[in-house]
Amino acid sequence: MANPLQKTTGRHKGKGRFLLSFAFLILATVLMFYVHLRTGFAHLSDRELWQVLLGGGTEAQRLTVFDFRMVRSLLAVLVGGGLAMSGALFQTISRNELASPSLLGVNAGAGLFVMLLIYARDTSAPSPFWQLPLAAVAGAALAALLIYRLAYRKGRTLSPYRLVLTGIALTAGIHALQLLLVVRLDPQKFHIVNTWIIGSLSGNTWIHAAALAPVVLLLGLLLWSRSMDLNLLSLADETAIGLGLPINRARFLYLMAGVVLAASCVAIGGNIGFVGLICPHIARRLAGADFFRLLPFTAVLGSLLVLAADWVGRVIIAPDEMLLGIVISILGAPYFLYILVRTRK
Amino acid sequence: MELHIEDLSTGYGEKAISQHLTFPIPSGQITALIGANGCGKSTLLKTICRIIPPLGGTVKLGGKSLWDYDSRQLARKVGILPQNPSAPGELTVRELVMYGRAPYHGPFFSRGSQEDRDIVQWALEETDMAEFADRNVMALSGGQRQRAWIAMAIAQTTDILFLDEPTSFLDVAHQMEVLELVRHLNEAYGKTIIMVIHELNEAARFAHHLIAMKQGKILYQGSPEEVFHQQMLRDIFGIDAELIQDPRTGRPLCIPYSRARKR
Repeated sequence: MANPLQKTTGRHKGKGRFLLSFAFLILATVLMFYVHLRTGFAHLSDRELWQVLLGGGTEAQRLTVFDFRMVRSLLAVLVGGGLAMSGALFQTISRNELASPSLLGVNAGAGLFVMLLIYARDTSAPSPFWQLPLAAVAGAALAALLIYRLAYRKGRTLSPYRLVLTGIALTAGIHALQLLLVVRLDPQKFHIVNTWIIGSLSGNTWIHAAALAPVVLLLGLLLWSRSMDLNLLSLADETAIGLGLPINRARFLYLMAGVVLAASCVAIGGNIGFVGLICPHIARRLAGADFFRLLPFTAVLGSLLVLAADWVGRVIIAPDEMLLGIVISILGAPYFLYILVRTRK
Repeated sequence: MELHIEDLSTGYGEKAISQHLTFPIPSGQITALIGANGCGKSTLLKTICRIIPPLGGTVKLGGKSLWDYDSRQLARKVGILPQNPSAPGELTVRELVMYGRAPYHGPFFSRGSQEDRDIVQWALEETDMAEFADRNVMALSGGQRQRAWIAMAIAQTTDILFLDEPTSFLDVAHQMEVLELVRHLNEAYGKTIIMVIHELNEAARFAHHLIAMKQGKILYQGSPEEVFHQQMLRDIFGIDAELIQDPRTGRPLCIPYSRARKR
């Protein structure tokens, strides 16, 4: 029955191969976490680092390791994992493997609100830590809801194409507003906005980690437990309906879950949208299409990527620091072009 | 369980295509919807199988409207094979067929049981797809891909199965293969099958019951012997055709000659 001329691109994806590559990925991430923890302005030898980790070391060393470095390493893990998972959701819902959270206006909406906040606030007094992340989440959610509402037509299933096109149009509009605002900022404020927009993990505290951890871990677990719904969403609408998925409700709920994930991560780590574009894409090649495998795989891959990129940013022009968003873009742009070339075939 | 179509109006948004249709769908038989392009048969099929909401009236299954069912419950009774379906590039045939078991799983951590795996294996063998089980669905040829989707639909083990143009885009050998599989599912498991089909002689040969539509209205319905005649072909398709008896199957066979002249 098989046509011998038919090129068979189907590969065998056994359970063993998946477990092996997942184990390898976790090992690489743990190693990267250690390397990340080792890197910083103050010099610490491996010996000293282990002493601190095991409860010893001086007060200054403990402060450096726990309050400066570990917070940053953990945030890299959370931000990377959350953005990668939300990217997998968006790519599935829009049925477009070039989609990412930024497609739904998450980055643009968050950016606009952060800019408005910084524009309006009084720089002479210190501002509370939660102000900027909250503004980012609010802006992202508002932009995503607006795009969803504009793309939705009553009595029909939501068209992924309309969603993508509306997202592009609205994002362009928000960027225009940002440009208008940017020229009105004084240099000091401009610097804050610019750092946030490019994306950086520096300057966060344990409170940020404590706020982000439950969002990423609980939403991740919830999504993982519902991986069959996500599998059905990746098929055509009619097939998903036939298999018992209430398509409109499911699409809205998972879209919102993706927005909350992406918005929270973007609020802490800035605009590093490429993570959500690249990781699900690589993960699908290695773990296959089933979300039960894909979701954990893409999450760990996202953690590894952000840990690695943040580490590169800290060592490449040391003692200066290259912003995380720039490193991610330098890594991400060639891969994006590679996907484009591949999908044209 | 029987399907009853009661005073059903179909269409998209404000635009009605069919209005006030009431007709039976015989249980345990193959029903074919036929008609020219744009006559509303595909819209009707999609409405009866709950893909698009009706503009009026209802479709009842076991005395209860389809829209009053829980979507997962309904998916255990009614399966759908859409026209030209798509899947992610990395999805394997076995994974796809396992998705057919989704309506039987709980809402959280839905994984296949041994029973599910047995049913998936049975579905793969029924459709001759066992040897392609670990291939990617989208990398298969047209005929193999269609069989993979049918395997998914039968793993759902529903009594009623809707097929939207299951033979379009296939060459004649693969058309026969798919239709023989459909007939086998009907004969061996008593499944009620409702399909939209373009090829008239295939409809007459494989269906027990024909529904012929024009401009949203049902003009003829009944067995191929009752319905398949020159007047029907003229009214429904506007063609002038000769009818003979298929020497092998005894079913009616049409040979179209020209567009019928308007009288």
